[in-house]
Amino acid sequence: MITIRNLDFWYSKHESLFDDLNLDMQPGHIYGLLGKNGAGKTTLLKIMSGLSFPKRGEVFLDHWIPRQRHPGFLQDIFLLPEEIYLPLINAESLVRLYAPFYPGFSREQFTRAMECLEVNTVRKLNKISYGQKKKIMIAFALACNTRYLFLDEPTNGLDIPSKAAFRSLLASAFSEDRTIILSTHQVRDLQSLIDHVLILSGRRIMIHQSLDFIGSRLKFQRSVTRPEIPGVLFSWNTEMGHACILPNFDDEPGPVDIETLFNGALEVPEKITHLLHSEIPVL
Amino acid sequence: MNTKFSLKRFWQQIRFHGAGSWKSYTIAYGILIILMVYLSMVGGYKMILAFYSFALCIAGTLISARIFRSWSDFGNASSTLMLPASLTEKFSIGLFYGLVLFVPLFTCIYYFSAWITLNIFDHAISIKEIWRGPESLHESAYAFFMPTIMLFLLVQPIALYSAVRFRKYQFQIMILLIISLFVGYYYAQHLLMLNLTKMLAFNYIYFVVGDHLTYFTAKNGGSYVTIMVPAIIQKLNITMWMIFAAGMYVVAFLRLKEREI
Repeated sequence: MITIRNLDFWYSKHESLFDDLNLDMQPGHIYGLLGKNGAGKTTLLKIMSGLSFPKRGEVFLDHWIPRQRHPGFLQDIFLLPEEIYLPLINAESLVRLYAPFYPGFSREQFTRAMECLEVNTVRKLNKISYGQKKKIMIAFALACNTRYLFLDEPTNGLDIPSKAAFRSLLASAFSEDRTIILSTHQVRDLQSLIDHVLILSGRRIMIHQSLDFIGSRLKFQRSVTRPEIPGVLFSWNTEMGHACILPNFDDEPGPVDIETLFNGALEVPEKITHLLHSEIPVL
Repeated sequence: MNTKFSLKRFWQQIRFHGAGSWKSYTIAYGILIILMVYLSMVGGYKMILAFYSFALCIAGTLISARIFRSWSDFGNASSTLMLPASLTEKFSIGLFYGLVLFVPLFTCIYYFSAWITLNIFDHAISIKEIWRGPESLHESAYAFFMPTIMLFLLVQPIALYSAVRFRKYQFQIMILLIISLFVGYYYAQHLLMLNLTKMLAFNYIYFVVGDHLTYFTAKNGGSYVTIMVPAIIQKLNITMWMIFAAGMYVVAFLRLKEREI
């Protein structure tokens, strides 16, 4: 379980990035961490990984304090940053030399992922493209079987078939004791994987809800023309017509359009959060 | 789980670092051999001996900077910091490649370079004679190697500290730090000598642990004067130097512990 209490963080004292941020995350979920550029998605992942330290407040991953970088903690977490560094060896050597640090590493899982992503294991890692490097590190990250897996923009640099392969691999690698956080701008690539949405805005977590809950409170509709439906909370023009958010008064939760939710949360935060935080869906 | 130091993890790290860096090390050591053979051909056998201290510090600093680069930029540093090993093990990797392995390897290269030069270009001197070395070396190996190693023990933690502490221009800052330190050290020595021995010792060139120092005087048309260093100052020199070097390693280690990305 990830627990963050009263987190304050800043790079410059004049500009705070997080202000009294609180967050609880349970295992067995895939969280989609969303936010505008500079909202602090990568920083939050770094703080949870122990690469950056809170200025105030506490962060725990189970009983571990990330900033202590205990070897046991590091064996249980894998952060795949957007910028990846790889030594001048090939994928086979990487596994031979790097995998022993992770007790849960599965060679079989790695091979399967590499086959699925169609990566060449013979060429040296400095001589392959960014996309190929990313695929190798995705395969490695999944095969480590760490309880915490943080992926920063995992689909950046992946070709279209690889994005589908990635989704399938991640879904198969997921288990009830794992917490996976996907920080991304490419919500459409990962929409089918995410079961919880975290939206960072205004130095805090604006939305932290399961898609089921969001779907039970908000209704997402698309139409060719601008909707003239009373009670529309937000609408925007997409390349496939108008997308809008309405309160959901149905008994069943509907599907959530994460992109529209994100845009709506940034444009009309009060309306969206009011509906999500109230006891019953009322306007 | 051993949280401080595990030999197994340390060995894994040695292999991991070595696999990614052996080519650059081979090239660096190859260049060093060529350079030393060339210098001894041009300047004679004694040239590389004089060159030993200087080259060890320069090559050692460059190699240390190469090793500690993994602590500086974002990609390298995040990968190193996230590696499941203790801080002591990660720190020790730098010491292993930059000190424990480097100094003996460099010394072997020195003797190998001398042997190549003498056997191929001078045709006369055996390895036994090289091992005995010129007067200063077989007078006292301690007096020769000790200052060199001590000097390096100071330079290396500065390289480490610069890589950990500064995010940009680490190499330039490191050079500036070393120069500042030596200027400071020079004046501290001068004041110490002045107060303890009542001797004026400007412009001296001497080994820090040596029993004598030589300084240049402009009197009588300019000449070098050698004076004996009192035993107490020799001991004080060594102690101060060791404390300072150890302190720099501790500071670098603590800084590494608090390293953020």
